[in-house]
Amino acid sequence: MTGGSEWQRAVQAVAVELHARLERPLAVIVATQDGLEVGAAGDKRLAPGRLAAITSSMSAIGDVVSKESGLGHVRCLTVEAELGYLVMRATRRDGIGLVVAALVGRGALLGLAMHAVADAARGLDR
Amino acid sequence: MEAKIVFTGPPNAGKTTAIGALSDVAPIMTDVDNNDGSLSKDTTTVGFDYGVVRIDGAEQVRLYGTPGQKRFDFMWQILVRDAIGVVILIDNSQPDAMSHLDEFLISLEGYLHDVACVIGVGRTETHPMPSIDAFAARLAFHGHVFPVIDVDVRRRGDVLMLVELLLTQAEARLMLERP
Repeated sequence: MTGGSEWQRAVQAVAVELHARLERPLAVIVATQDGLEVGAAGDKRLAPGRLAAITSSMSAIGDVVSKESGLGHVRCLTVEAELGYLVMRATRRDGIGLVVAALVGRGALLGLAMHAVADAARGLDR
Repeated sequence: MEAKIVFTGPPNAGKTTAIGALSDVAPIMTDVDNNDGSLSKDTTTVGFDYGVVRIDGAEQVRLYGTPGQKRFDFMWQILVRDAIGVVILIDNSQPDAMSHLDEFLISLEGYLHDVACVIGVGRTETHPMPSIDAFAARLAFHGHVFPVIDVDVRRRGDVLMLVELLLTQAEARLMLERP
């Protein structure tokens, strides 16, 4: 499916690093564009496999909305919810499209979470 | 209000192709590269497909297609809301075609008693078994009586027939519900 076990270890390391860097982190998921979990950190009760599929759907729908609206490719999607934020960013690694998603609690600063997710996405990109 | 119809079914069943064949406008698609080695396809739908068709120059119907993989079953539930009917497409060339029908009947159980439904079975010219009758018998086992027809989703006429069957069923349901 992906670039082998070393590839997966590198992606997983980015997920763990991002989780450690976030304020009030709940979970970090790295998914392929087609919804397969390739990295996860944080609360496993949040079903990372299911979140991977959901974030890939949201990312694809966000991309369609951006393009249909003349805004070009989507870079970052944010969900503000009652109890926290979900920040998603698309990236690529070795030709494989990925979505980096971070869930943080309401007390986190959204701007910092977006910045951290963008850094993680850049770190994966090669 | 415009009618909404949902095309669902397993990966490779032809949902995106069917909407592309029928839609009067360029369909909106959320296809991305496929990384799942168990599927022999380059791209796969992860959000939804969307198109519209005007039937006989009158009624406009909105067409939605779901992703096929089980991991996207949350989208199946979201997309069937407020639909007047569901087309379940089955690819008969896949070895477990009948179990795919089971999977979708079970996942949509809460909706199928309230909406119209048609089963379209594809690639029957090269893979005639299970037969159309066998699919109908399986529907009866699940407590449903829906039309089952063989289709080539690349042909607009075939897809239009699926939609017209759904609309006919939906109208019949409305007539029965009227006091």
